[in-house]
Parts: sequence; C-alpha cells; structure tokens
Amino acid sequence: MNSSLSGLHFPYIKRFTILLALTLVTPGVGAQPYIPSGANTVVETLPESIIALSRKLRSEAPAHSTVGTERRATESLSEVELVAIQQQALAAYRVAAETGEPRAYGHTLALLERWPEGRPRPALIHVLSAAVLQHNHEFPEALAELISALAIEPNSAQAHLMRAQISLVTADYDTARESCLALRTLIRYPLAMNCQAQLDGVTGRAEQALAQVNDMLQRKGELSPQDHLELNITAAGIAHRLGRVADAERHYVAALQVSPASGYTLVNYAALLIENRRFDDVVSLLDSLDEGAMSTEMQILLAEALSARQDMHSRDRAQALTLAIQESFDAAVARGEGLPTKEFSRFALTLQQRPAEALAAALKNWALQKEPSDTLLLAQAARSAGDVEQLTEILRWAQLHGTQDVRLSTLLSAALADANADQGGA
Amino acid sequence: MRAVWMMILLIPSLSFGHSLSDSYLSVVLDDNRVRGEWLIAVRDLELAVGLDRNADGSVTWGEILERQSQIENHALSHIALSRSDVACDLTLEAPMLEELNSGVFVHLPLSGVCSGDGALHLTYNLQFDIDSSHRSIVTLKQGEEVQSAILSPSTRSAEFSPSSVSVFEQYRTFVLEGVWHIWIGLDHILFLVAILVPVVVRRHGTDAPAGWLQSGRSSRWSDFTMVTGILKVVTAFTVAHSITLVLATLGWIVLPTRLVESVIALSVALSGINILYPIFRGHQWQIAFAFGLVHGFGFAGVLADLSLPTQLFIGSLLSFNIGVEIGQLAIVLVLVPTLLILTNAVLTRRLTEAVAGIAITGCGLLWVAERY
Repeated sequence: MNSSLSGLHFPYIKRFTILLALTLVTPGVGAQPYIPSGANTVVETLPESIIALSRKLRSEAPAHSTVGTERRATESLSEVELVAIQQQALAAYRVAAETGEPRAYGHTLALLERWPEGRPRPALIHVLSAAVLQHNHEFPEALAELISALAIEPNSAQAHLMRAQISLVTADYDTARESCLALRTLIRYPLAMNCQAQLDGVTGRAEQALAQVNDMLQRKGELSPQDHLELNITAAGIAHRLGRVADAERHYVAALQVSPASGYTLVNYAALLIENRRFDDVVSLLDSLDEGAMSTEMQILLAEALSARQDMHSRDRAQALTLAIQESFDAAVARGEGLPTKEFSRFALTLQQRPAEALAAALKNWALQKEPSDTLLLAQAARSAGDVEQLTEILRWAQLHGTQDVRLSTLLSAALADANADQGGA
Repeated sequence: MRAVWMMILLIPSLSFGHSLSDSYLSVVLDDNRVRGEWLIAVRDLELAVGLDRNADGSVTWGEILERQSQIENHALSHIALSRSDVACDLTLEAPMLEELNSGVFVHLPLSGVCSGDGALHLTYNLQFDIDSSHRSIVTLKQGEEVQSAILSPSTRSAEFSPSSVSVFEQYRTFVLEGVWHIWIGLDHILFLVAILVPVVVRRHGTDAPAGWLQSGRSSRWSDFTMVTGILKVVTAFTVAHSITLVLATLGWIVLPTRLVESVIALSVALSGINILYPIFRGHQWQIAFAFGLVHGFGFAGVLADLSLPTQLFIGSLLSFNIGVEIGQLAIVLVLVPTLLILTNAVLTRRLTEAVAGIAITGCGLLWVAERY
C-alpha cells in the first residue's frame, strides 16, 4: 500500500487518499439504495463459480450444521466427522481450483480450520492447507505444510508436485530439481518430464527443454488432455522467452484449445500479442471472456491494448477499465490487505506512467516470486525509473541462473548501454 | 503462477479479478439510538441462506423478498451491539438493493436502542463459518467523529470509544499551530509589514474631498482612508491565502514547493521595493490578494508537515486557518499603532520608510536567491 502512494507529495495527502479510498468503497457515496420495479426483476445473474459453491454447501449441509458456527467441542469429533471434513475440504478446493472463486478458497480454509487442534493432521489436510497458502502467495508457509505432508507420506506425488511448482516460482532451483527427480517414479512420464523441462527452461537449457517437450508432444496417442495442456504451456513459455513468436503462439493456442479458461495461458498469450503490437488480437482474445472470468492481470492487458488503439471508443473503454482496476486496488486497501504487487506494478508502469511506484511494487513482488515474467517486469520498471544499480543486479542474477529471455537481455543491454553512454558523456 | 494437479488434476486459475466477499456496516450512534445500514452481497446470501430458489442461476427481487425473514434472521443472529455489557435492541427494516463495483448488495436499514453507556462494542460473525476470507468494513459515526474497523475471522469484535482527545482539544491544537506558524513565518510577516507600511505612511499625502476640507476635517479623512486601506489589504490577503490553503490541503491543486517558496520570496522583495518607490500605485489590495494566493500554498506546506488527522479533517483545516488569521490580526494590531507613532514626524517617517524598505527588499532578494 505504501508503495502505491509513496510518490505523493505530502504525508497528509497519503492519509487523505486512504480515507478517500475507504470512502469510495464504502457505500453511501455515489451508490444509492433502490427497490426494483417488480418481483421478476433479475437482481443478479450468479456466476458459475457461486452456483457450484452454493450447490456444494447445500450438499454438505448436515455436516456443515454439526461442525458449523455452533460446533461441538472439537475434541469430541468422531472419526467419521474427521473424514467428512477432509472430503468437504477437498470438494471445496476442487471448486476453488476449477473456478478461481475466492469465496471457494475462503470456504476451503474455513473447513480446514475446523480440524481439531489436538488431533494429528493427515497428509491431505497439510496438502490442502498448502494449496490455499500457495494461492495466497504465502510460499514459505505452503512449503512448510508440504514438508509436513511428505513426512507423513514421503511418496505423495501431489506434495512433490506442489513443492516443485512453488520452488520454480521462488527460483529455489535446487529444491525444484529434487522434487522433479522424486516425481519420476511417482507420476506418469509425460508430466514428470514436463517438471524437468520447466526447470531446464529457466536454468540455461531452454533449447534442449523445448526440443524434448516438442518430441513428447509428437506422441499424441500416449498423451492425456492434461498432458497436452501442461506440455503446451511449458513449450509456449520457453519459445516465448527464446523469441520464437510463431512457435509460442502455436503452443498457447493449443493449450487454450484444451483449457479455454486457463488464466495463466491467457495472460501470457495476451502479453505475447502486446509485445508484438497486435492490439486488435488482444482485444478479441480477452473480450471473448465473461466479465467475471477476467483476472486483474487480464484487465490490465486489455486496457493496455485498448489504449494503444486510436479510436475514441477504445480509449474510453481503456479509461473505464483503468478506473475499475484502480477501484479493485482501493477495495483491497480498504479490506486491510496489501495490494497484489505484480498486478499493481504493471498497472503503475503501463497505465499510469508512475515508474517509481511500479519499481517499488515490482521489487516487493520479486522478493516473493521470481518467474521470468516477474524478472522482466522488474527490469522494465527499473529501466523506466532509471535505476541502473537495479538493472545491474538483475543482469548479475540472470547470468548466475542462466536465464534465457530475449526480451530481458535486449532490455538490459540497451538500458545499460544507455547508462554507460550517459556516464561517458558526463 | 501455474500449478499442476495430479491427485486433484486441476489447474487453479488466477483469481484476483473475482470479487472478494465483503460486507459494509455503517452505524451512527446518537445518544442511545443507533441507526445505519448493513450491505451484504447477494452472492454471500446465496451461499448462506440460498436465494436462487428455482435454481435458474439468477436471483430475482421476488426471490429475495421470499427469503426476507431468513435473511433478517441470518443477519441479526450474526451481529451483536452492546454498551457496557447491555445489548442493543436491533431491528432491520425492509431490504433494498445497492450496486457497488464488487457486485449487488442487499441493503438492510438498521436501527435500535442501546440503553447502556460508554463505548460501543460490536461482535460480528457473519459468513466466517462459510468463508474465512470474508471481511466486514465497519464505520461508526459518533457526533463528528468517524471510526472504522475491518473485521475478519481473527478479529471478530471491535470497540468504539470516543477518542481520548476531544474534538475541542484537537481544534484548539490546530488553531494554536496556525497562530504559531504565522508568528514564526518571517516571510509572511514581512510581506504583511511591507504591504501595510505605505498604506499607513501615505495617509499624510491623501487629498480629502472638497467637503471634508471645507469643514476642516482633513486629518479625519486621511485616518478614514488609512483604516479602509488596511482593512482592504488585510481582507484581500486573508481571503486569498484561505482559498489556496484549502485547495492545496485537499489536494485539488498541488504546486511544486520550490516554486511557491520562490514566489513568496519575490512577493516580499517587490513589496519592499514598493515602500521605497511606489510600484504598486494604489493597487495595494489587489497585489495583496494575488500574492496572498501564493502564501496560502506556503501555509499548506506547513500544515502538511503537521499531518492532518483523517478524522475531523475539514474541521482541523479550518481551525488552522482561523489560527493563521488570529495570528495575523495580532500582528496588525501591534504593527499599525507602532507605525502610526513612528510616522507622525517627518524625520522618523522617512527613516521608517527607508529602513523598512531596504531591510525587507534585502531579505526578499536574499530569499529569492536562496530558494530559486
């Protein structure tokens, strides 16, 4: 939150802005209560995620009432009830993971919190807790849960898989290597290979990794839709970073054919299109989604594409979208939560031209996660803010880990050459 | 980030775009009566009490009215207000709707009586058993004071006591800060002095209208023009700096500090020169107004350093402004009689003009050089 306002001139304005943010999201200002004209007026069309969660809540109603608000002393829960908690939490997590609905993540957590303190927690409870923590970007806490799960079930494929994914995100490549290795004997070959290819792709062996994934994708008959999806996402990411735009696009499209709502794929594909100034394609890609299915990252990319188009209608839409994104950040502040640093950084950088704030947020994000897109964002923010020291540090880090990303290397060499020329000139 | 699922075989999608579960509770406490409104998301009520009775994926107004008593029971059984352990008797009135950025909310008007006294205690349990990420954003207005709290599963209650510093105390502090600032702000004082000296000194050179001369009241006439001149100058300066102080503090106009400080210095230098040689030529009050606008930004800079409280923001801002005016009036009340005494005799008048003119111009120019 501080980062978002640190560029402002006076401390009292900062306070005033927070007050204003609270006022804006607090009803009474702007919005007016009303009574609809008739009983048949549709008040709200429920998103699929809420329908699924509501159905789930209705189905768990008996257990829900026994372990709900007026729950019995938790120590007295029977084995059957403990099994019910696990099943319900797993089912809630399914809804959360399928739909991305925050209320479903919140429900999973509410169910997990019903586990009695004095009773030993089974591996599933640890894994589900890790999944919710991972979703909230609480990586160290999630890893601790996974280690507990693996202590109970050393061959838990799910725990190893999640540990590998978190380690890849946090750039703890040694742990990722260990987990990928463990997975070789625990899961089917295509996905175990995919784990290794993801790691190789960010540690200096991108060419080999891409070739392997492409080979695997040729074996169509042996692959499940899940394999197709994962392998294509990995291949798209590596090709994207190697600057092979056509290959990357082919893999993104293939992944979207398997899973049209894959947020990760949509965001990266839209970024590829923006980098290649294909703004109309970005708009048609993201406009086809339901409003409720748009993540903030997608909204930012759509606003960037719209504002790059010349017509007034697009620019007006970009402006409205920018305002809506700002309001969602204000709401996060009003809830007493931190801003989502990655999203806020990109927003400040590309839509608000506030490089100092973008850099501060990108740094906070990078302290937490270091996927190639995080590193690139940090470098873009550092360049806009003219922070040569930070750019040098990123270069050192990228060289150390063997990062291969043409966008990053082009940006770094141009920015550092400019800086050297300035120094020479001075 | 992405994650692969084996056992569950699912790919979690990004989620920040989906609206989070919030409720908004706004309460006004007036003596022993509370009134306010509680906004609960339609989506949260669907999960808690089930609104979509015909399971067609849409919630109609009729379906909400059909479940009105369940909604009200659900809401009232998850909230408790009390004062000194005496529970407030709360009732909900007929629901309405309200649309916010994050979705459609059922707007429940709320009222009741809290017969206890002292701090208001709130216990809140809505939705937490279903959704651990639910939050309630609560505001309580008591007199002029607004307090807020964010409630979560780990903070399910809040206590609202009238703040330890009374409203009067807080305003008094800002009045004193305003007085203090104009007294220690040499640039503002010198500008005021410089703009007043010619008004007082040149009263001797004022020609009274014929009628006044004939009746032998020329000195009274000059006193009259002097007093109106002082009033015009001081009023113009006051009005102008009040306008910009408010605008700058509200953040509606923000000027670079260096520019403001430099123009203030320039205003001092020019008014100093005006004592020695009349460059303002009878436009005293207009000049005071124009430069007063810039001095207002200077006052705002000081106020910024004091960090206005978010509570009582406007009141504190106005108190500071009143303080500045009181301080200024005190200066005028001391300055004008002093100048009258000094300028009674020709020699001291010339001396006063020369010393004040040279000193003030010098200070002004020095500041211009320093601040530019």
